Amino acid sequence: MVRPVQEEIITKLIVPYFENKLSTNNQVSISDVRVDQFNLVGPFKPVKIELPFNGWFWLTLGLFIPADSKRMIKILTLYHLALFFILLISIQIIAEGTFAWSVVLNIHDHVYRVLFLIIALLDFVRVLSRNPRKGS
Amino acid sequence: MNFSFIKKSLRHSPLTRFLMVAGVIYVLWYLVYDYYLLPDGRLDEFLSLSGVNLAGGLLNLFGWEIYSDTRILAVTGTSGVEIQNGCNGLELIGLYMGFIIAYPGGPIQKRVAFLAGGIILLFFANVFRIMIFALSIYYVPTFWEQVHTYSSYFIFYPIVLTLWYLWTTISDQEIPLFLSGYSSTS
Repeated sequence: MVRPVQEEIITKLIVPYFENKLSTNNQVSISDVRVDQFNLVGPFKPVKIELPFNGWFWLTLGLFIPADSKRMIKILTLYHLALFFILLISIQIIAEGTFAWSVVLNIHDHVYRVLFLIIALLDFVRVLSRNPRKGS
Repeated sequence: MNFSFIKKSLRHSPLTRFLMVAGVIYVLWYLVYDYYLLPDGRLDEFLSLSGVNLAGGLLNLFGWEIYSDTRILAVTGTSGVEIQNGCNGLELIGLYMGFIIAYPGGPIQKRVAFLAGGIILLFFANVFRIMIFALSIYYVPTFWEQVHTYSSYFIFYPIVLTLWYLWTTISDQEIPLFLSGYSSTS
């Protein structure tokens, strides 16, 4: 269900909008369009724009749910929702020439997922250690 | 500027301290990987070529007729798969290492051994992944995109998460989670 929605958003909304916005004389362009992601290229390291609620979200959620971390599930979901708008604004910022923002975006992309995953794992471990398996 | 809230947080929450250390390590890893290792290409090339060679050798051993040329591995009759830089597990090895280095506790020798063992395991997991890629193009070519996209979630991340979990038990250092306050179970 998620991927078809992502595909619609990418191919019918975001990419056409920004391709239209990034005119031919703009240094920034869109490339490598896929179902749930595309690259922003220009005079900077390419930025991978991956839509929120991707595989990482579900992987992390898969640890939070058995740990019954309702608050973290809420934080993770809200973060991904906010990320959708943050990414759109970020593309706009980069397109307008603030190329240094691409570094921030790339670092964020690498770090936020891992930190959420680590928190989820530690929470999961906490639940495991509270319910140790009994020997036969 | 007043940084007292950061100091207070660091002093009182081992989890915050751990996450900050891990965050810094991941930022550094990203910078080293994207701005040095990836453009340099030698480590990526080694991992890609050795991965393709081993995967090809194993497929051959199990009876498949394969074609292999530098980074390309194919079961004969298919176009095969090309292992490019950035797709050889190196980034994931960095992800694995960050946690093990940042997590407190545990003797240094054990930490180094665990790091080395994990890296070797992830390397072989990537060899297995390359084999799956080559076979999927042969048997289920229409699902190639899905296999490529989701293979990491089925092959790499279970291994990384299990190794992280094992390290939390080996290092014998329980981080009192601030998350416990979040959870409805507590």
